[in-house]
Amino acid sequence: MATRALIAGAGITPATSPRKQRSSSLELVQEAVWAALEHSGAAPSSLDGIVIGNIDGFEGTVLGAKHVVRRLGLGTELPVSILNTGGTTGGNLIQVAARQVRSGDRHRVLCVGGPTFFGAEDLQSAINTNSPMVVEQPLGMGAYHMGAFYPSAYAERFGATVEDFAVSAVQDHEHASRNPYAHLRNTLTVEDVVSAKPLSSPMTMAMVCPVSTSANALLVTSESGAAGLRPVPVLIRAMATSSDPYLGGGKNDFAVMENLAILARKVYQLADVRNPREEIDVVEVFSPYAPMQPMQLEALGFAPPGGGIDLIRSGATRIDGDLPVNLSGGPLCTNAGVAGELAPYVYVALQLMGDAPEVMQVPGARRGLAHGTGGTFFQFENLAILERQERA
Amino acid sequence: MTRLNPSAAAQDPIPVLGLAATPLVPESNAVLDELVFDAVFQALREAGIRKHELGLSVTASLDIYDGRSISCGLTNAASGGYLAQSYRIEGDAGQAIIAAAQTIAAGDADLALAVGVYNPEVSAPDRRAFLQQISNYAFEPHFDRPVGLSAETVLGLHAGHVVDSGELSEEQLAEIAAAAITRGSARAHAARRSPVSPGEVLASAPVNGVLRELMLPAECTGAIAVVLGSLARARRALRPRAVLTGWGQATSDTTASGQWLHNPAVAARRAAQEAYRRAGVTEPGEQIAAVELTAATPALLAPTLDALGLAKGGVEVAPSGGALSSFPGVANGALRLLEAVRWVEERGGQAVAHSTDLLTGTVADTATVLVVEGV
Repeated sequence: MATRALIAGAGITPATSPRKQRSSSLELVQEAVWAALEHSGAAPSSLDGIVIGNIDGFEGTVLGAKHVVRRLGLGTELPVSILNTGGTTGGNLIQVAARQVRSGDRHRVLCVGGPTFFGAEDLQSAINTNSPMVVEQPLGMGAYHMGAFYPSAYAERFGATVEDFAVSAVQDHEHASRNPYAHLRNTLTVEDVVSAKPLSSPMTMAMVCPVSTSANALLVTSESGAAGLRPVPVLIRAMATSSDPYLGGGKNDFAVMENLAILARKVYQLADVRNPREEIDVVEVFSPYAPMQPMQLEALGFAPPGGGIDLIRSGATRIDGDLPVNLSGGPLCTNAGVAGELAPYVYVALQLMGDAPEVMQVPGARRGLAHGTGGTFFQFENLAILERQERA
Repeated sequence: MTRLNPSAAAQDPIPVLGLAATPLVPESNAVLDELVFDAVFQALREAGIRKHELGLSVTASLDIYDGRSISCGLTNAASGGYLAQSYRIEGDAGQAIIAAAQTIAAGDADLALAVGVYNPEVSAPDRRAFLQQISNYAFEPHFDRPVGLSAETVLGLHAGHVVDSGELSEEQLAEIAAAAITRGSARAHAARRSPVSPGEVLASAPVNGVLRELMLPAECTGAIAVVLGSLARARRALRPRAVLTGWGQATSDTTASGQWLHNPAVAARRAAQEAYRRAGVTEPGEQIAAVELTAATPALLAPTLDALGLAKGGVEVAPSGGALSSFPGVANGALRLLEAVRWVEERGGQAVAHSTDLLTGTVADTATVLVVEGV
């Protein structure tokens, strides 16, 4: 029998760099899973599924989740689904878990995002293997090279400067400085960002995400499965994914995030969102490169084309603005692979439950947007509208 | 007129609208997205569905076989994912089929596609070593890897245990393998195309312990796609081939518990219970007429049949020859469904398709069970 799917528990670990991390990847996952169970109040024996992500090639194992899930203290019988869609793996865990629940097959499914970056010495080389083979791979193209296509085209179209692109980096760091789970908690000025080491024009090192380690977990339940659990449940009101072609040439226009805009319209239709700027209270977008954020805000209908940077400069996206964006600091300040991709969903759920850390809690947040992106030239997008469900 | 009238006992009957495979060959010259495109194109054409009508496409593949990170980026558009919903499961295609069915049962799509693709980057004669190396990397890193565990090692240890305990002799293992290979040899998707005798099985190359090469799955490559639809949408489809009435998925334990040796089909048992509950099957031995199963060695046939509740009764076992006749890696779940659907198309009644990922043999395997009935 089809049912609705809710989020009824979340756990997250503090992040740091792989070099400074004192816990193993398994210990981090254990900590996140048990934090989610404690937050929810669900007994481990009440779970009936796990959906977990691995990105082989970045990790030091092949489908390491196969043995990790049996070392979490959750028993030996839970059915396991392992996903890998690159940078959208974390967000897609929700898609799979929610459908397992919505179909009536499961009632309490744990989504687990582990630290991904513990196997590869050179992540850009690992990422290079997903590039198109004829031109991009031989040129050594990695993720941030692909990411730089967007601001280059955007600068050409709208006249944006490196100083303009720096504003979202400054804001993300300001937000991360209040987030006890964030990896980079230092604040930056526009000058700091602009004068950082150039990486791939127009991006500087300060506009590019760090390599972090942390883990997180979300409990997705049916309506009956949420009964008796501690947090205010959060309804997955609408969710979807959308994909661009693999070749960069299929993008049509790098100055506009067309695929995300198409996806947003679909999801807003499903959620009956007519005016996203007014109807959404809190936003977490996956923008591992600072210039992506204003473009994403435009694609999501929060600003007109070319207006994303002005939106951020206006203060609307700060914690005291009318559209708080990436209060976690986003992936620009913490990117732990699958955990980093699941993080937007974790943070939005915590905000709507009223359980975010006090210094970053948006008072009265009722409806939130969580987003993920990844793949070759960021070809994949996922998106969800989440809503707080007051108990009767 | 589709004549769809699924069993009232089924909780969410999901018609199979299209089901197609590329040629399954030892090594395909096509690259991954060409294989996916070929299978998806054929399955959609058979269903009379266009790509943009799909509500979701789910791909089953493994980066490490495909020789590139995020290989689904390459195959996604071919699977129907362009500007549409899609994701990739790293596991057997049976899981992708279940994810597609769940999406329809959830009311989130009317048409969904699952496709499995398998064409490892490394060619023969090095492929076997490549696959076993990958398998070793999938084992627990502190204790299992250093002692060299791999899928073949685990399967060999289990088969040796079966022989040592007196359950079956090596000759009996050979008889089971020869019967399966011979039964499947004339089928369209067979990878082993010649009948063999038990003596030939015993004379084939030793692999691990009592296991010989012809006692192991018949490796082949290719892609297989399945189009599923809601019952309402299916009534306007071209020619539904069967109805998926039940599905179940379960995962076994890791090495330390010893389940892989003493209860190697435990995941199949739990998956079958889920699938039968959904399908409304209460007496599988009486209600199921045929089973397309994935017994990776002859020693796993009896425990798998028992786990599926099909050890007794008149069930026809692996009419296609099963995995010993043709085993397209992570696309296997879709091949088993294809063979089960063909069986009910010819004979009617209900059939079961069982699959499991063999990345780590019977250790931590995720089994899927699908129940189909004829239209």
